[in-house]
Amino acid sequence: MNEEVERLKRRLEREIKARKQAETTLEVKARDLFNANERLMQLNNELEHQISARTFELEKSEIRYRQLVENASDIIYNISETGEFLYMNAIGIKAFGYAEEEIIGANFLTFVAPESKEQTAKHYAELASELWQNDYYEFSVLSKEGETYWIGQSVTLNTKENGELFFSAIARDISERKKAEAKLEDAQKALEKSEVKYRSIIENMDLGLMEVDLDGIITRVYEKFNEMTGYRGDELVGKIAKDVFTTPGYEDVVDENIEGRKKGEIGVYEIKIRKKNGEHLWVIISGAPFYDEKGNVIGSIGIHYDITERKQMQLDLEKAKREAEEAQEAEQLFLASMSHEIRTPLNVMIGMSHLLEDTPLSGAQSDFLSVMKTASNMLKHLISDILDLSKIDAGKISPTTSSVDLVELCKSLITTFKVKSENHDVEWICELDSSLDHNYLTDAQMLNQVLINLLSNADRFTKKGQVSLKVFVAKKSEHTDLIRWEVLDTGIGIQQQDIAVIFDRYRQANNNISNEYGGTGLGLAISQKLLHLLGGEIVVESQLGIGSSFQFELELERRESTNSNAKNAFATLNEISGHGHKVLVVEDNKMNVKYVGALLEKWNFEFDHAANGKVALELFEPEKYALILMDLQMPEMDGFEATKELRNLPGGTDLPIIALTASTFISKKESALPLGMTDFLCKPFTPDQFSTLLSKYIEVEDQMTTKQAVLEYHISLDGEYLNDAYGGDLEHTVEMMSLFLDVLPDGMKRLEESVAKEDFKGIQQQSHRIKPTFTMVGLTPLSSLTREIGQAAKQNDFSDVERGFRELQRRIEESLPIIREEIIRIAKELKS
Amino acid sequence: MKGIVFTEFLEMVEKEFGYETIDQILEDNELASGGAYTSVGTYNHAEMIDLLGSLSAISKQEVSALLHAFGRYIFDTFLKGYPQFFEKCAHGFEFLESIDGHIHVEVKKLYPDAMLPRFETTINGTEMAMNYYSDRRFSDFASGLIERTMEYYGHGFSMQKELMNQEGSEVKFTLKVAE
Repeated sequence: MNEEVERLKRRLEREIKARKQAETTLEVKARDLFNANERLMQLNNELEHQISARTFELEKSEIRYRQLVENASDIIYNISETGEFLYMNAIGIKAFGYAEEEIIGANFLTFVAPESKEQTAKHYAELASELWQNDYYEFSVLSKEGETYWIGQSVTLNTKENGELFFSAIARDISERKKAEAKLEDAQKALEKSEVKYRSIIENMDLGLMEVDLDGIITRVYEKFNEMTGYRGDELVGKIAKDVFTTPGYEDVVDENIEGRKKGEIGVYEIKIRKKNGEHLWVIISGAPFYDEKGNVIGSIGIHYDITERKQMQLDLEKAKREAEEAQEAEQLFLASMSHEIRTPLNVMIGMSHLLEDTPLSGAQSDFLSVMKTASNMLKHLISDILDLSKIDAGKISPTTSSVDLVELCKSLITTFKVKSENHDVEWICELDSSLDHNYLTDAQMLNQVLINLLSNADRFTKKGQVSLKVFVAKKSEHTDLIRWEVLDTGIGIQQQDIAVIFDRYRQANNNISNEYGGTGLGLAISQKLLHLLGGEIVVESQLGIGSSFQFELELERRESTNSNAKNAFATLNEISGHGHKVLVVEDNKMNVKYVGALLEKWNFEFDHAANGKVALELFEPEKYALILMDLQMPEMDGFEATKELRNLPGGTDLPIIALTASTFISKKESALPLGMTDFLCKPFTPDQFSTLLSKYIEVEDQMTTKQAVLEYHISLDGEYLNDAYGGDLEHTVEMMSLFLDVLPDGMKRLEESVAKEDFKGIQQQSHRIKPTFTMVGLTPLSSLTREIGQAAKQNDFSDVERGFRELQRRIEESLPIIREEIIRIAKELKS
Repeated sequence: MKGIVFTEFLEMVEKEFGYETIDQILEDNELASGGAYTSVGTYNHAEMIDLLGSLSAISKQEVSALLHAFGRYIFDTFLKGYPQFFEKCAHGFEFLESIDGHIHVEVKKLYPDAMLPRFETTINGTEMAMNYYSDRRFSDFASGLIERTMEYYGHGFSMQKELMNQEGSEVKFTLKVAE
């Protein structure tokens, strides 16, 4: 029992010990657990803290991203798996003009432009069936306004926290780029189109194209070129072009061009090449280098144009032209040689008609003669104009320049026209620029001819008013002056539409002109051509019924004038010495005898005087005279008959016989010849004209040209003429004027007697006699008046004769005191 | 060695031999723990060897037979305490196979200091090879547990035990079940 108790006691102790042991273990475990719990809680806190910090960061970054998204220049949006807009940033909402509520919830296809809709829907449907993350696609959308925009959108597939799928997209307005692309595409299409166009043009243009490399080896040939040359392409490629095609004589041209091409030069040349069948082909080759992308010349392309036919035509044309030129030359030669042959008989006809005029004629005969004279004169002018024109056209005429005194040339022209003109209601005016104080280098003869033509026209078409020749310096340069001529008239004028044709040959303003006013219609054509040769151009201004102005300008080189500054104070005089020569003067007019005699004495000639032809024949002896001056109209025996007789005498055949004539019909040496005369001198003549003529037929010593003082004459006298005629020889002038006073009463008395008897023949003779004397003292208008009386007499128009004669008497009475005063004045100057 | 092994062992001894025998084997040995065991404690493994030695002397039974019987006994404790492990498996092989990879892993979670034997299993149709490795050399305890497991799953079976070394720290069990 005791053992049992002991055992139970031990058991209890063990149980208690085990319980305490378990309690301790459990306490330790509980503490461990508590500690572990504490650590867990701390860890939990830390984690929570970290999470909230992370969350804060996340929120911050989300805000940042949202701001970024909202302010992004790109359009950013989210779309649900089924295509509805979930979100869109501000710029996206603004971009297309829709309200936000119109966008959010709407399917994206709503906004896609109709033309893009199908394609876009298809694209995203295909995408949905694939595994994808990222996609970029371009399509067009419609704005609310209905405008089309192109956008490019980049889409990413995303998953929400709840596992739902959505798309986030970034899109950009690429309309500008699309436009640019479209433009580029258009441009490219246009380029392609134009390339196609030009290619087809070239292919259809009969142009053969061949390409060669730098060694001249053919690299490519085009079909047309093959057709042209008869080769096939494969026969040519790889061959040297020059060896295949070049014909003898063209190697140099080809080589030159090959070299040029290497330097990048373009060349066009014409050569003859060889076809496959050996025939020759003329081609124009236009060669151009072509380049690789670095700009190096790698070869050249030649465009060949077949000109064989054209070449043949050219050769034919050249031949035809040569033939034509030869024919023209022959024609000109013919014209030139015919010139003399035609003119000689014509001059005879004119001369003879003139002589016929001096024989007794009935009224009707006189009329016929007048018509004959007019017609033959016209024919003569026509022929000489035609010959001139053909010479100009043949280029046989070129300017021969010399130093020319324009003042002298123009003044003497006007003087001539004053005398020649038959229109007495026309005043001839010569206006010269005072700065024309030089000589100028030009062709005096051509210039003279132009001015004569223009003045003749003015004369022909002006019945009343004025004809002016104005010459002035338009511009002065270092060595040259631009000189402007103007011939102004108050004539019938020209219609505007006719101005263009008047310079055409054989054209006058209208067909009636020739009938009414005469003329050949060649004068202006000749003038214009001559002026072209001189470097000028005639310009016309005209008003119908008011008048015309013909102008031209020439740029002429200045030459030192021999009488430059002394022009106003001095006149020039060609001095000659006729020492040892004897001249016979056959002249019945005392004033002429005096005038001629004074000049001959001055120049140391000896001379005899014969009052008529009969006396001249008596005085004549072989070798006695070096020259005879023969007046034509003289009593007893006139100049024609005397000349005829003289020519039959020994020593008379070759003697120079110079006709002195007041008639204007003899204007050229040729026209004196048929009359048996050697040459002619037109009365009144200046000492210069006289000395020039004498020097032509007698060997005289030329002396220095002297300057003589020029005198101011009374305003109603022709001072210009007087200075020309007497050259400041005051003594001579006084003598001539005194002589005029002596002979005038006798001349007037004879004329008056003829008028009283109504003797028309007598009136003609007397007026012809007296006429030059007026000119010689400067009374030029009276000379013209006298001529009118003579012409009236020729027309048997007595009333005109009478009227003219009375006018003459009146004018003489006015003029005589002036002449007397001048004699006294000049005599006084002589004494001083 | 875990306290539960000692408390279950003493419980079995009390059931089979009465508290007198418990008192006798505890008194016979100089035990560091004083013989007061609790299932949550951990005690020296040598104490179990001492207790087994004393019990063998008193009961006149081999230590191996005692260990075998203890294996069979503790199976029911395990079955009662941790039924979920058994319910998961439909076959004894399956359960045995899960000891090393599953049950011992769970044990280690609760008692990180527990010294557990290691098993290697190979199933080939109706035959299973199960190798035991443990420095405690308690393969007899394991054989009791294995036998009771196979009975629990209701298998007609045969078991062979083969020592792979002299110490008995490596032992191969071969189990065959009927077709």
